[in-house]
Amino acid sequence: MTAVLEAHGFGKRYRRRTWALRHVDLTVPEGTITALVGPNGSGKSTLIRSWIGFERATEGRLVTGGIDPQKDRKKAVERVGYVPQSPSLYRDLTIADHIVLAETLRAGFDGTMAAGYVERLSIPLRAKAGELSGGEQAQVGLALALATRAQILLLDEPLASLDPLARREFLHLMVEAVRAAGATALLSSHVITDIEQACDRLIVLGKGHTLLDLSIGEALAHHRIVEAPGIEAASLAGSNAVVGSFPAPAGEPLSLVRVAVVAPAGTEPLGRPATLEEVVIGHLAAGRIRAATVLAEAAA
Amino acid sequence: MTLRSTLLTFRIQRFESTVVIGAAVLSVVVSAIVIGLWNAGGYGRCFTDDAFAQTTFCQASSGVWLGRIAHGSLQIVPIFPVIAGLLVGGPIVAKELETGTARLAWSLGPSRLQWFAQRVLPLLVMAMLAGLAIGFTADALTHLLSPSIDLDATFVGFRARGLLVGIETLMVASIALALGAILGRTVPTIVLSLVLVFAIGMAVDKVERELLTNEAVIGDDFSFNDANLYIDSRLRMPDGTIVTWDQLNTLYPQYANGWDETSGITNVTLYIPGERYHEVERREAAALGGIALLFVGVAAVSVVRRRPR
Repeated sequence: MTAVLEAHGFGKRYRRRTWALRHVDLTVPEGTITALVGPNGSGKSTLIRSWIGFERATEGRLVTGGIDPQKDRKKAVERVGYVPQSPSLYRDLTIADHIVLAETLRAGFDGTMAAGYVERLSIPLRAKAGELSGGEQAQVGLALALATRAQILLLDEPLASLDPLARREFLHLMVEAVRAAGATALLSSHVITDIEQACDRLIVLGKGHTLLDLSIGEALAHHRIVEAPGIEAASLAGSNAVVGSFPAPAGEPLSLVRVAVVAPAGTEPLGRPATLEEVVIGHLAAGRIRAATVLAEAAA
Repeated sequence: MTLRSTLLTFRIQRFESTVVIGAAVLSVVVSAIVIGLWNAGGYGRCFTDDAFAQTTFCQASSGVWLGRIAHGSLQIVPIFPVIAGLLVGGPIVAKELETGTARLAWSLGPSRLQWFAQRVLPLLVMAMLAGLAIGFTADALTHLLSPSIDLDATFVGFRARGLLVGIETLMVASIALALGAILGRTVPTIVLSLVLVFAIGMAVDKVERELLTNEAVIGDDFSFNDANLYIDSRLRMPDGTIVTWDQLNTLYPQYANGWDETSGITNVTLYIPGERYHEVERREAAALGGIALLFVGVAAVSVVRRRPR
């Protein structure tokens, strides 16, 4: 499958000191809706902003639809529809004005499509952006991005400030439009249940590193939960199989273990199936330990 | 750039556009009314006929009030370029970066230069036209209050009337635009722009003084009149040499404690004759316009290179 978004040894350092991301290698295949998950400060926004050319790589390179956004930002932007966490609409302009503005800025922007999406969401075109709720503003931002008819959609935590209903409407609109256009979407989010419904691929980003890059189906099939602390789980599954340990909501220790899709003949599958949230949390827990180890080694 | 994009630009900066256009329109309308009433009342004669000026007609309150309004309007002219320029130029890019709307626009439009042109040109043209309206209104008011003056051949009201008011407004707006594109914050942009505008203003004035000093006519104290542009006061030594007061102390220490009439030293004045008004005005307009273009270029480069918040 062709990759439309690529990162090769990508690193971004701010103010000559802090590395937001380092040694990131990942690809987003064409025609997928990929979730990008990671803790706060893991560099998700930096990565997304770099693919649209808003940030410059300190090391490595990126590819956006076959274009290096650092060398030709204009062409990279032409290939991308972008929805930031905060839509940042012009408060005093109406939604219709935003559509006109987009038409004047971008050749091929489909104003009719944008208006159609907005009206479908029962948002009045004559309403000023400042009068809309956060959810409505995010939906307008999505409608504008979709109406660019770009083949790549980058969504940088657009669900963060939305209520459950607005999140559902947003995702429904996004999935429908992306599937209909045969486009590719990369959705950065913390809300795992939404990801499970909307996405078909999952990338977990740790502190600057890729911790997991699989389809949702593979991620679920390759992981199971052992309801025991890490050491105990290691004795059952082998130390290399334990991804990470973390507490369940009630406090009992859980360990995420990596398993073969089909259990070896004559053996019972280990533990119970993992939920997608547990897969993500297990890898994030492992990433945290790895980051702490790297820091300790660096300090030593 | 289309009519639609221009209208949207004005709507995005509705407050600033309204204030600047409103001030210009108000100034023109009030001045037109004052000039109309003044001419209808025949008050012009009060300034050309000394005997008539003492009559009750000229001393009457309506004429005095019209004069006060005209004077007041003229006094506001020198500060208009600074206020209008900062108000219009400062927020154009800075506010977009501050509120995040630049991120939306730059993700929708592949060409940042196109966005820059769409957002900047209409507002800079508006600011310049408002400044020109105020400047030419000041021309009319100056003529009203000093009807005997030939405005084409006098430095009366130099830099506070005519073409230069519009160009000064454009320059201030361009400086604020560039600082806004670099800083990305509206309030610091306006404060720093104010400082930079005064610094540049002083630098331009110094350079222009140097140039004009070399071109100045040297006349005795009595040949100078208000129509001319005063440059400096010098001394003519008995051997015909023109020296500054500082040079006198160095070159002719015998005169350090003063001199009498028999010494042959006379005071002279360096000035630019009023007939050169338009030439000097055009040259200064070109210099200020060049500075404005330079800062627009700096703003454009900053917009192309910077990352949005």
